[in-house]
Amino acid sequence: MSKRILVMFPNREYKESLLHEIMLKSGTIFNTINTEVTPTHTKIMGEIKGDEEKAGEFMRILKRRGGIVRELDVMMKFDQAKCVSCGMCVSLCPTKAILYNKDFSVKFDFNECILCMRCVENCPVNAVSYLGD
Amino acid sequence: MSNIRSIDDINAKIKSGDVVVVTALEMKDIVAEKGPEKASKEVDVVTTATFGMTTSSGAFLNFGHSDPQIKMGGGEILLNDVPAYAGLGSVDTYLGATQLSKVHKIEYGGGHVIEDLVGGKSISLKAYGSSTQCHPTREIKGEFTINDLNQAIMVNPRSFYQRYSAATNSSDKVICTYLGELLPNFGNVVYFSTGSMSPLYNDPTYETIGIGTRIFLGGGVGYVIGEGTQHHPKAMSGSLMVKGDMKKMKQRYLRGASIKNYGTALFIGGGLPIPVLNSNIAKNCGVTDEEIKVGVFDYHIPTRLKPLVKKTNYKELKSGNVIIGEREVKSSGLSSIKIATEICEKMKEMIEKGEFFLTNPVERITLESMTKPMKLLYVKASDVMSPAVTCSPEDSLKDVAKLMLEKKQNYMVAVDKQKRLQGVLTSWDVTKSIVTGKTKVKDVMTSQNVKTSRKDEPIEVSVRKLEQYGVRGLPVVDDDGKVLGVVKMRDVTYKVKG
Repeated sequence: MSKRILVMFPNREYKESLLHEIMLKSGTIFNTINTEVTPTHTKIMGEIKGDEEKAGEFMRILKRRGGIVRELDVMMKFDQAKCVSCGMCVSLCPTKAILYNKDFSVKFDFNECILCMRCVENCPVNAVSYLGD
Repeated sequence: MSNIRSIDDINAKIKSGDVVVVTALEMKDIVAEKGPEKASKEVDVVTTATFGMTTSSGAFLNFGHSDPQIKMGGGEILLNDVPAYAGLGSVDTYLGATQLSKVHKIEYGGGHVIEDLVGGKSISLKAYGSSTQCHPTREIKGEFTINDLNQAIMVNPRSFYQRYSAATNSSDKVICTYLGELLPNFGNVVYFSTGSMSPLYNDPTYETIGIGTRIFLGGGVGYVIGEGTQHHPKAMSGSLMVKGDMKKMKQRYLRGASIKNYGTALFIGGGLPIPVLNSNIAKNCGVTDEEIKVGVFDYHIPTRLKPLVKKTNYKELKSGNVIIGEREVKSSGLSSIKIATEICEKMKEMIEKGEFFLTNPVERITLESMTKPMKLLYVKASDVMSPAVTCSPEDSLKDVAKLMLEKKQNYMVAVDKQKRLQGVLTSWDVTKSIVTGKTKVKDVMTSQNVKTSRKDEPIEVSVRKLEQYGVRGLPVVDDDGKVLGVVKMRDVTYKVKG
């Protein structure tokens, strides 16, 4: 199982060894996909590998150490009822987060998402939305 | 071909509950397995459908008279701040799908108003009229739902459009088109149409489809009222004009759409029953995705005629990956195969239950209509080009250099005996030959990938090529590759007035 999350730390509370420390404590692997460092905060997007319990533990410790944690499958919302399965998003998706089902309906797996926002910006019927950081 | 049954026979079978209806996809398998002859004996009706984004769609609405009366015709009409046509009678209007809201612009347009109407939502009406003795009211504001309207009739001038080309983008920038975003460096391929399920591919000769054909439109019942705009059946680009009562439509089969940096449109579901009157019709309904050819065109060139990148078919497009060069490029459609399949099933059910009868068309759809480009006054490459100073690839560089000096030219075009383009030569190439010691034109000229211009190409496009590729000139060639002249930046500067 893998779970994508976005973590934000105010810079004064973040040190590079922190993630390794939490990985050891929770017994999970965390692969960093993208890091954004600004003068005030550090924003890391990554993927937790491990079962649900361990992933939960990883996120709990992150929060205790001052991290703001957002889960991608919660941040991104796909409204199946609004979707007309036109497929515009499918070929725009740079990862395997959006694929066709066999019956040509569209399925989302936000644990493959890199938050590129192309689907959100392009969906002609506003069926995909980003709920914010 | 003699018919084995008539539409009246089929309707009698619908009435008695004995009719055999299959969806377009089921019919492909039946024809492939049993052949058209046997298929035509077994199947009475094939249901075909499409659910795609349309721009030439809209609705006629009649509000009923106000008291005192207003003459909106000649005035201004706004529905949820979307302007509607005010060139009809006092309280009639036509609302088009691509008309943008004055307030929300690209986020909300005519297509959305139509969806909201069908969804039973309340729509605001603002209208300004010219005050006359019989229609004294100048201005009205109100709210209405579809039930308050006398008529809400959808009339789509171009519907069930048969052929679309697929699109991709060779440039290094994202471009926004009516097919959505096209990613740089062949990042994606986008196509329209449901392919072999699409109605007009199943009856390309309009043997059964005509004026008065009863269809499924937006969840209700509609009719074909004639050929559609840009109808060009010989190029497999047929289209139909259709109408339907919006009061009976359902939101599930109709949706307003906003295309990023392009505009608004209307997704509309249409289904067309094809009566299998003979084995030829059965054969046509057997058409497969693989048999329907589609060109993938490069949309970064903004001219009407775009360069062909690849010839493909709906089988490859629907597979989700198209091979371009040596790469697999993701492809997706803008027509919902999912909902089109649902419409085929739904129509099948309606016919089987005796809720939908077929009609005899009162007149056939023309097969002669053609699509021509717009006639415009614009400066073409041929208006600006200067005569080409030509040489042969076999000429010696010394002679050509002499000619260049004589004619005061720094750009030469190398042609064969039939005047066909072989390459281009600049004074820079001649200079280089002094260093390399080459003596023939063919040794130094540019012969690969020479950028050219067509004689009817708008000069803006030629200028863009000159700038983009940093070349001194563009040979203007005809369809056979014959050189007609050269467009140079100098010509443009001197001959085109700003």
